[in-house]
Amino acid sequence: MKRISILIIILLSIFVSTGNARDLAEIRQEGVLRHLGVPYANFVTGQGDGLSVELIQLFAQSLGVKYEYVETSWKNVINDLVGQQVSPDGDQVKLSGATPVRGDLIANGLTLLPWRQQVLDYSIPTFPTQVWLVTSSASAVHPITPQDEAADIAATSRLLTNSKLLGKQNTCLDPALYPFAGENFTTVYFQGNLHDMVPAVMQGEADMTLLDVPDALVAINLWPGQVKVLGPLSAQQAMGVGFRKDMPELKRAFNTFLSGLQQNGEYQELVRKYYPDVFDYYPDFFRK
Amino acid sequence: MAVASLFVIVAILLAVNFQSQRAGQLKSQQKVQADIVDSGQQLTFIFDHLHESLAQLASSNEVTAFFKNRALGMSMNYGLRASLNNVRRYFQAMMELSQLGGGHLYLQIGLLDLSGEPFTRWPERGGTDFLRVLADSEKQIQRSSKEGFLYLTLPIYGGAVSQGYVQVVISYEALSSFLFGQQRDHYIIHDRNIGDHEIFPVGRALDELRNKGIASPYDAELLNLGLHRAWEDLGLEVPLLFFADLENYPFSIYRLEEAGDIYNQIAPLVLQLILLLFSVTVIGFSVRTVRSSARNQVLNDSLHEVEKARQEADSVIKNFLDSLLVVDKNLHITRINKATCDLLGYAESDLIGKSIMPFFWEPDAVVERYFGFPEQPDFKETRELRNIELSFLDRKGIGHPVSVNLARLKNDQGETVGVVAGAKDVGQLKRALQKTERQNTFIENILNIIPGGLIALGEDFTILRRNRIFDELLEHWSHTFQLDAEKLCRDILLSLAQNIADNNMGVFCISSPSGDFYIEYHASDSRQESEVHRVVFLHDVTKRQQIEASRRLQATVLEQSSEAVMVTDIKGIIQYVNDAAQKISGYSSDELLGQKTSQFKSGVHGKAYYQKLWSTLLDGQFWHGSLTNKKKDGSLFEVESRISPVRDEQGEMTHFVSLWRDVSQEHALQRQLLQAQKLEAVGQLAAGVAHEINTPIQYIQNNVTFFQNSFAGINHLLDDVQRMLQAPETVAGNPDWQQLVKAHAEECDLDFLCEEIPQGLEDALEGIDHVARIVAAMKEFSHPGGSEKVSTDLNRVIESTTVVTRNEWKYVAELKTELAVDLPLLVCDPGAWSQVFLNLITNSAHAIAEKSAGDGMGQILVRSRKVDDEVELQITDSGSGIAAEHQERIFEPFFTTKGVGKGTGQGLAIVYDLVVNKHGGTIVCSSEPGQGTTFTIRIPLNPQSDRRI
Repeated sequence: MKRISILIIILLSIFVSTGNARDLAEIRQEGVLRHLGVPYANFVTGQGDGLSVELIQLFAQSLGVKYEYVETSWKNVINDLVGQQVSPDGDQVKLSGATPVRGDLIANGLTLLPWRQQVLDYSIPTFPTQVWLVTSSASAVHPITPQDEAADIAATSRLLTNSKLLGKQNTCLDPALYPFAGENFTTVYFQGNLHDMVPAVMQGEADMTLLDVPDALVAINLWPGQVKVLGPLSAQQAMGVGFRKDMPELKRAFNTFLSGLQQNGEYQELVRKYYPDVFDYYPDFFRK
Repeated sequence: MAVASLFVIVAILLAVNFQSQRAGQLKSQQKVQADIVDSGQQLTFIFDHLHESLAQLASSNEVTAFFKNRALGMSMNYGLRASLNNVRRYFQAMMELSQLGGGHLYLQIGLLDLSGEPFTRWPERGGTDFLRVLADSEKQIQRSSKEGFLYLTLPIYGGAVSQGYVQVVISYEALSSFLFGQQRDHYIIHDRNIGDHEIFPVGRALDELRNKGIASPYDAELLNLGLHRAWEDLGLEVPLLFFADLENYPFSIYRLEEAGDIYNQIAPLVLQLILLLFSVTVIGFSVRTVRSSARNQVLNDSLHEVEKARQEADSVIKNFLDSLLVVDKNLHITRINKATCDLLGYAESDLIGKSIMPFFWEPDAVVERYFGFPEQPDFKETRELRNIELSFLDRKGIGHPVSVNLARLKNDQGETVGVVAGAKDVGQLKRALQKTERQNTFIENILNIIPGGLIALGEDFTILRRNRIFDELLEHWSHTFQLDAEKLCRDILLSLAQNIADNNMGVFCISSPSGDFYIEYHASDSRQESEVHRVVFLHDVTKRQQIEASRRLQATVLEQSSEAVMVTDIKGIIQYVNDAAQKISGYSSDELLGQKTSQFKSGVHGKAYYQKLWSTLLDGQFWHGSLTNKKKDGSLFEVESRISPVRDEQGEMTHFVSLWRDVSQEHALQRQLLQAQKLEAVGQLAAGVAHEINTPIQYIQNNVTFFQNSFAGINHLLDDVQRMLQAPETVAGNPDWQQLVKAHAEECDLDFLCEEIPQGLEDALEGIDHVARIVAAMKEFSHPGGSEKVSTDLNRVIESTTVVTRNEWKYVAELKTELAVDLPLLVCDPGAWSQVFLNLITNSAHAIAEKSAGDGMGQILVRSRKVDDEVELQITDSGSGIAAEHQERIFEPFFTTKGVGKGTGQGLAIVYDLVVNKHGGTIVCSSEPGQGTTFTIRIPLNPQSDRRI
């Protein structure tokens, strides 16, 4: 019953949402593909490039339309796509007032989360990820000794005891989304940008922070010797490109495009350009 | 006679040839030795470069970060692998950058653990195994050679503990190819420190050298090395050994050469022997001929002898080691020896009778001029031409440079019948000269690549060699400072001579009428016995000196600035503070450097305030705002802070510069001024307040008077009651007594009093309450307050202010309030807000009075409410409004539209300062002349003070 009501709300929201929601035919007709992005890790660098930016530029090129980047924030990125105020409620969502539709797809390292899947259709996975527990080198907490994924997650969860943990709402870094939420720690929700979470921990605003793998790899390179990865807090996750649920044609076109890119190895080269280390961590994910 | 002539010619040719070859061979020997010394210098240069590169690799950020992360306990699965990949990519980049003769200098680079196993390496596969390194407490480069490879290893230390090694592997084959090129088979590089005396490239036969009696500067053990096979492969007959030792490294270079290639002594000796035999033979035949008595016999014998001599001559010609050929007057070949045939790639039969023209590279006219010189008018008397440089053209079209000697060939009658040509292949000599030339060019290029002037000086400071940059510098200086270049050069040398005596490096100044310029020098004394006494590197540092002077000035200015200056890195770690910053904070420079700026946190600002500050800065933007910080002694100080990001040449943020202006005193004065203005307002309001108090006091007074008067009548009744209580038996049932009491009750109108006194008491109490409220409002209003902000109920401040100002508005307007009951408390200075409301309400009252001029009552509405994260306050009046041309200026100090004496022009300026500057809020005025004015104030509930510029 709850699912039905959510579906009704979603359908209703789609009809009442403001702005210009459109599918592939309208995009081709209007000649522009609008890419919603939040500057994040090396997906959208904010300097006009990034893995997601180049990927969607190639996609737009394959469609024969112009590419347009629309910058948004983690708070509004889904709202800007679906035209509704969306807020997570566990694995479900709450919908409220209508907002303008500002883009045609979301691509900036968007992790597949159950609540997001209530309002979004995801492409085939584009990137592997995992949530890691990270602290500063000054911390006395010692990283775990790896065994297998389940044991590693359990061991890392135990490190949280009595700590102040930095998380971020509306992202995959919200501790409330994971089983370890029951551990004895205090959540501090960060108000700044995702890439400022490590500096916040280094400045003592919390003891530890959640970080997904792409951002952790960037942090390790950016602050060598100052960042300590303690261990994993989630199983392997996947990222994908997000579409409105009433855009099946655009999603299908993207999946076909991405499969082609993966088969001829062009996608792997693109990933290597921005995340050369990810192949060592998830070799299976990028096999042709 | 012909035989004698031939004998003479051959003898002359041999003698001349011997002498010229001898001189050439000595020169070649010197060239070969110079080559090997040059190669030694190049190898030293390469070793120097390798040592520097290895140190750079080991101390790189990538390698350091890996060991740091590893020390933190990070695992390969979670993070450490990324760090290791950085190291591998760095190795790859270094390998690409390090080129040697078109190939890679390094065969492989590895980061090894303490057991010698590689953490990572580049290339990832192939190559050879890394060399296991013995534990060594010395932080020095270890150098080993094994199986054709050179291994350089540098331990990496974390503190006093070795953590691993960086090892690079270089192929001796690659080194040999670069240093010796096609001649590499003739060279040997020997690592003298290696216990088993390995020699690279392997496969040379030094024991053969010993067997052949070649002297060596090294022990016999060294000479026992090598392989016979390689020696035999080279096919050397009489080997010669050249060698050079490297000065700074225990390496030697050997070069093996065929003696014949260098001295070519055998050929002349053989020829001399042949000549001797030839002469003896000729003489013998002559004696025999003389002794013959028979004329025919003599003739026959003579013919026979001639034929034999011809055959001998042919034999000489054919077996002559260098090229030898004879042409007739038509320049057709009549005789040619084997060496020439071999060189040209033809059989003798293919050449005899052919014109010589096609067998030379040069045009026919040139060949004809030399080979036909006996016919040339200008060579009529010339017997021979020497050292003519021509090139044979072989069957494959390849040219062979030769030095040719030409001599007339005469018959018995003395007639010229042709020309004898002897040619020496000078290809090898030319190649050696070309190589020397290339090496000179290489050295010249290196000298010219050096980014500065370089001069080689003799002992007397004469310039022996100079690079192009030095000439350019001289030209630049002489042009810029209008100096004679030669004189300038002398001045520079003079300054060098004076300065080098004290120090081998430094800076000296050359003065000129057009200005001074500064030259930095680095001198190195030559350790070799050569005419070069020292080499000096010169660099124009005028700009740097000027920048340094400017920097010193800036540093002085910074240091002495009255504003506090603090520089931090992007993590907030303090890198620099000036005197003012130390003075203002109470900390010394030593106590601040390396500390975080958070130690100034006073607790006055919330976490959000600092988050906003950092967010602004990390976004690369300028931040400006007020900060209340804590001194070393715990007291607080207020500053106006301006923080700017500093970027490097690549545009990356590297530091932040904070300028603090101490405004503690200023703020104290402002508070005093504000209080004074408030008291001034209180003074102005005093009359009205007095009037406000006067009204309730009057009816309190009336009621109290009424009570006083009433009490006289009631007093009689009370006396009656008292008497009744004292003698109840006397008054009980006494009709007079009852009459008296009744009369007294009627006299004081007891029923009236019982009805009016409670009402009077209520009125009096109401009046007292009114007065008390006014007094409380005045007290609250005029309270001086402090600098600290406290949680304040703005509704209460509004109500107090409306009470205090009541006399200002009550005659001209009705004042209504719509105050949100859920208005959150605001962290602010309540006294400031009393002042804001006082000024705005008073202005509204004046505006209404101006419009109505006593004709009807206006309206003043004061509203408060919460909008998002802000408190909104509105003061609306129905007054005269503000003219459009005045609206932009109303917040300017001293701007007023009121009549002289009625307004100071400070009211709204103070309101603006308090709202915008002191509380980070906004104030907007909307006014319609004749209709009224609304001031809308918005104050953030969590003030950020992030007023960006």
